[in-house]
Parts: sequence; structure tokens; C-alpha cells
Amino acid sequence: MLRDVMNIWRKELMDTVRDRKGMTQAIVIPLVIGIFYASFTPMLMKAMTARREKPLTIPAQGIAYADARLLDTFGRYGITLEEYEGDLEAVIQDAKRESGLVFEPGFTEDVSEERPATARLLTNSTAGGIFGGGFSDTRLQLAVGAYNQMVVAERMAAREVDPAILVPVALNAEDLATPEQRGAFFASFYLSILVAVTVAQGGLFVAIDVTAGEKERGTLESLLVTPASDIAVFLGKLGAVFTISVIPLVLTLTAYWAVSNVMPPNMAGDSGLPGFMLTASLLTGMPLALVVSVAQMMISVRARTFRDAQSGATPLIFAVMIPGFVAAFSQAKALWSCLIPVYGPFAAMGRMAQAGGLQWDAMGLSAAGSLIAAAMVLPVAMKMFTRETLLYRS
Amino acid sequence: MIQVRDLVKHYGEVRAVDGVSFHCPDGHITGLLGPNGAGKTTTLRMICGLIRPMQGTVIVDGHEVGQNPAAVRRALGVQTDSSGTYPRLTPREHFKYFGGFYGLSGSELDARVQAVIDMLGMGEFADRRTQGFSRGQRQKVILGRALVHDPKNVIMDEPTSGLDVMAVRETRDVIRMLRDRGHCVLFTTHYMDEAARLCDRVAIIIRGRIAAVGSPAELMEMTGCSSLEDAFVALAGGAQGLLVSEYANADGNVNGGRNAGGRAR
Ligand SMILES: Nc1ncnc2c1ncn2[C@@H]1O[C@H](COP(=O)(O)OP(=O)(O)OP(=O)(O)O)[C@@H](O)[C@H]1O
Ligand SMILES: [Mg+2]
Repeated sequence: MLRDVMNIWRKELMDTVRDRKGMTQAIVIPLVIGIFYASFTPMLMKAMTARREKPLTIPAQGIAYADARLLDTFGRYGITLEEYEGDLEAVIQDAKRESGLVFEPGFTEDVSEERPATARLLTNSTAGGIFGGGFSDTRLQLAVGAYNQMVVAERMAAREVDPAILVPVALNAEDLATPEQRGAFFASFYLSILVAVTVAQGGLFVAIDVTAGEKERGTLESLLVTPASDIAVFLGKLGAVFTISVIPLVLTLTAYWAVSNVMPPNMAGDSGLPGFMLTASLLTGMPLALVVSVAQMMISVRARTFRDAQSGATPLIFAVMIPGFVAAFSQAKALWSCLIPVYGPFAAMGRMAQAGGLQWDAMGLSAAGSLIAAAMVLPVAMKMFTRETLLYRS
Repeated sequence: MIQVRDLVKHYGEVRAVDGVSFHCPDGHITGLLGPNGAGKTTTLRMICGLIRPMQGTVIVDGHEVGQNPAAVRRALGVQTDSSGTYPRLTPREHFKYFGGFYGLSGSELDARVQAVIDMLGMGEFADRRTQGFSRGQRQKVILGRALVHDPKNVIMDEPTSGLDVMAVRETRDVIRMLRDRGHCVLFTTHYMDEAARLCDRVAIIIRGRIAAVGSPAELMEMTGCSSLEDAFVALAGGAQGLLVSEYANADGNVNGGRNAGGRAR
């Protein structure tokens, strides 16, 4: 029995490894995806940060009316005003510029004589496209806030009042997340998606090839006239599917981990994948891959042709990817939720990311959930895998 | 030694096999003849345990297929009627893979594989992947993987169909050689001259029933014909005529669809 299983497993692996198309799917694509995720995410973050710190030039009218100290303050926040000749309102309306400032005559006098002074900020939230646009007034508000505080402090001092009375509550925010937590948290979002995508697709090609494919090629009958039992044939093929589906999982995650860790820290930022998350996602992902392999076998066994099996497997792909995406986007996972088949491994990954370390209870539960699911599906799949139904089911 | 007793297999309305009995002694070549759709392939599939018969028994070297299918399969070498090969494996790898299921391994397996390659004259293409093989080359791969474990009983479904003259001769030589070595050979064919020349015994199956069993000479004598082909046509035609009334539907038309075209897989 075991010999037959091994014989089939070995042959199916050899057969798959020789299939260039199948191997590309199993090795090259996962590597590319892993490297892409690892390098793309920090680049995106970098770009966002850079934008936040980039010097800001705002077209303005009536700069001469503005208080010199206000312009100084703007300067400290990286904001430069540039006198604009022409119809400022019209260019902003036409989305040619994102924003503009207008000072009215008497602005400086209003400030110094303690009258409310106003400036108009014009913006067009649709200017500059989805990624390039969306003028953020945060920096401007900060600069104005700082200026206001300075002026208020002076006015209070002139009246001999302590400016502190104006600040009854001071909120001192401290982020207690460790760098490991930050890295893992960020990565767990991508990991759930990565694991979901690789597991859902990983062994599918092989599952179809060793069942429906063998039917289509007309080789299945020859295999089934050998003394190998139905169970041995099923397990040998399942073993090959599982093995091949684990390869892309390992490759994707390792590539992600390696690339995100060899990158210089100033480039990788907080997105480097900590080593424990690599272990965590492999240990939770492999039992998941087993469940998915069994389900893939079940679906492809029923199919008569490759094409049949491919369309039959589409719902399965979603059944794996959707829980993965849900987990990626949802917060705080309860320990018991790790037991839910398919969702559990992703929940466990999320928990460990948040905790900043391996959690054996979460991993144990998610593995148990996967194994229970596999144990439930396996007999059904094997029942379908009998010589007569396999060959001549019409 | 293969003994078939009272086998029955129906597909809905279609009585694919309807009470077939015959036996194939060791050291003999038995031919199973019959028109398209007569039930030959279905009978062979029941013998090797691919299909469970609704009734009847198959005994191969003392093992009953329903009770001990693995023992029956171990005693059999089967060349199926579907002629597929694994395109990314070489014939040698095919033989090793299949030999592995019969407890062969290591140098013993290698020696058997080489023996089959030599026997079938496959030296030239034994180590080429079967992708793109000609029909004859593929047929040899299929035959070889049925023989790799040197089975006592050999079953072949239309082993010579679609082959050129040379390949047909080679295949017939292999069949004869197996007989001479004391194997039990059961095969199907549509070529009556082939059956007449090769077979020690012939079983004629028509519409799922055995119409006659005997040596080619006995069948000719029985029907008073001078060739096996004429004897076959006499037996088949007679039965066909008989069945027209039996299978005719209310309109008086023969319900031909179910038997036309033969192998529904
Ligand atoms: N899986 C199946 N489902 C339904 N009908 C089937 C099935 N297999 C065989 N049959 C029917 O059983 C009958 C016998 O088929 P079988 O393949 O045994 O014929 P055969 O003698 O081998 O014919 P041929 O000479 O064409 O190979 C045919 O009418 C066939 O259509
Ligand atoms: Mg047939």
C-alpha cells in the first residue's frame, strides 16, 4: 500500500516537474509575486511619506498684505507662497492648480490691532488625479495653528496672563507598538492575501492533471488495472498535489521575507517581514494547503476534462480567497476563530502579527481546524474515487 | 486461467453484457469476437475489476474478482482499449512505474523493463518521451506496460487495430510467444483472418450473449462455412435478425442508437 502510494507520488512529481507550464505556475510566478509584494509595499509607503514632506508651493494673491511672521511660520513648515497674477479662482475651478491663498488688504493691521483677520483658502479636491491630487490642508492648518499660538501667547503676555490657561487638556499621544509589531502588523495584511492567493491556486493545476487530465489522455484505465488499491491511488495523487502546492507557498513567503529583509532599512521602513511571521504563516498555511488539496482532488475527480475541472474549481478559489481577504481587512481576531476551517489560519496569522510573536495555541487551533476539515472531506473524496465511478461515470 | 460465468451488466436499457460464460485455459489463445457494441470491452472490464458485474463471477487463477480484486489484477496483464500514454515520460519510465505496482524494484525491475523493451523491439525509442509517438509506438508502450510483470494471464482489447503490417505481425508474434510460454491469452479483434490464424479457441459474443464457443475449425463446421469470417457473419447475422424483433419498438423500428458506435466510455 505505502509502496504504491510512494510510486504514484514519485511519478506524479516527476511528471509535473517536467511540465514547463505547470512548473512556471508552481515556481516562477510565486517568486515574482513574493518579490513584488516585498519591494512594492515599502516603495508605496516611501512615496506617500515623501509626498507628505515635499516642499509645498501655493499660489497666492495679496501676499504683500500678509504678516511677515506668518510667512516665516509657513516657511518653517516648508510652505512657500508664490504671487499669482490672473484669475486664481478660475484656474483652481478648472483643476489646473490644487489650491490657492488670498489675503485681503488690511490683514496685517487686523492682526496687530487684535481684530479677527481672515484669509481665503481655495481648493479643488478633484485636481491632480486620484493619486497625485487631493490637496491636503493639514500642513497649512498646522502652520496657521503654530502662528496663532505664538500670537496668542504674546497677547496674553501683554496682559500678564499665563497662556497655559488656554490649554486645559494636553493630550500626549505615545505609540507603544514595537518596531516588530509594526512590521508584523503591516505584513500580516499582505500575508493573508498572499497565502490565500497561493494556496487557492498552488496545486490546482496538478490536481486537475492527475485526475481529469489522466482521464482525458486515456491513461487512467491502465493505472486502475494494476493491483494498486483505490485508496493508494488517491493518496499518492493527493500527496503529489499537496507537495506541489506547498512549493509556491514556501517560495512566495521566503521570497517576501528575504527581499523585505535585505532591503536597506531606510527603504524597507516598517514593512520588513519579521522571521517569526514567516514561520507562523508557513505553519498555518501548510495544513490549509492540505484541506485545499483534498477539495481540489474532489472537484477534479468529478470532471471529465481539464476544462471541466478548471471551471468547477473556480468557486473553490473564491472559497479560499474570500476568508483570506476578510481576515486581512478585519481587526482583532478571537482565539476560537482560529478553529474555523479556512478562515482560522488567517485569523491565527493576524493574532500573531498583533502579538509580535508566535502563539502556539492559535497555530494549534488553526491546524486542528484544517485537519478536522480535511478529515471530513477526505472520506467523501475517497468514496467518489472508486474505479468504476472514476472511469465510466457519465 | 480465466473463467467467466454468467456475467451480466446493463446500462439502463442497454444490455451490454447479458449472461456471458466462457473460459480461457493456460497455454491457449482465446479470441473474443463480436460486432461493434456487442459487449466485448465491457466483458474485459469486468474481468479486470474495473466494472462490478450485476451478476456472475470471474475467476482468475483461483481468485474471484469480487472477493479479491487485487489478487486478480496481480495475476493479469491488461492492455486496455484506451491507448493513452504519459507524454512527459519515456517508455522505460512507463514500464518502471507500472512494474512498481507488482512488487518489482531495483535491478529485478530494471531487468524486466529491459526484457520487455527488447521483446517489443523498442530499443530506438525506449528513452524518448512519448510526446508525439506514432500510434504503433504508443501501442507498444501500452502492450509493454501490460507485460512488464510477466503476468500469467494476458488480456488485450483490439491489440492490432490501427497498426501497419509490420507492427501487426510483431504483435501477433508476441501473442504467439506468450501462448508458447504457457500464458493464458484473451484478446478481442475485428479481423477474422487474424482470429482464424491465431486463436486456439474463439468465443463469439453478440448483443451481450455468447452465440458460440469453439476452435475456428469447429465453428466453421458447425455453421457449414468455409471461413471463420463466413461463420461469424452467419452467427452474427442470424442473431441480429432474431434481435430485430426482440428490440424493435412500437413503430417497428429497430432501436439502433444504443448499439451503434460501440464504445461509450
Ligand atoms: N459506461 C457506459 N454507459 C452506457 N453504456 C455503455 C457504457 N459502456 C458500454 N456501454 C454500452 O454497452 C454496449 C457494449 O459496449 P462495449 O464497449 O462492451 O462493446 P464492444 O463489443 O467492445 O464494441 P467495439 O467492438 O465497438 O469495441 C454498447 O451498446 C455500449 O454503448
Ligand atoms: Mg470494445
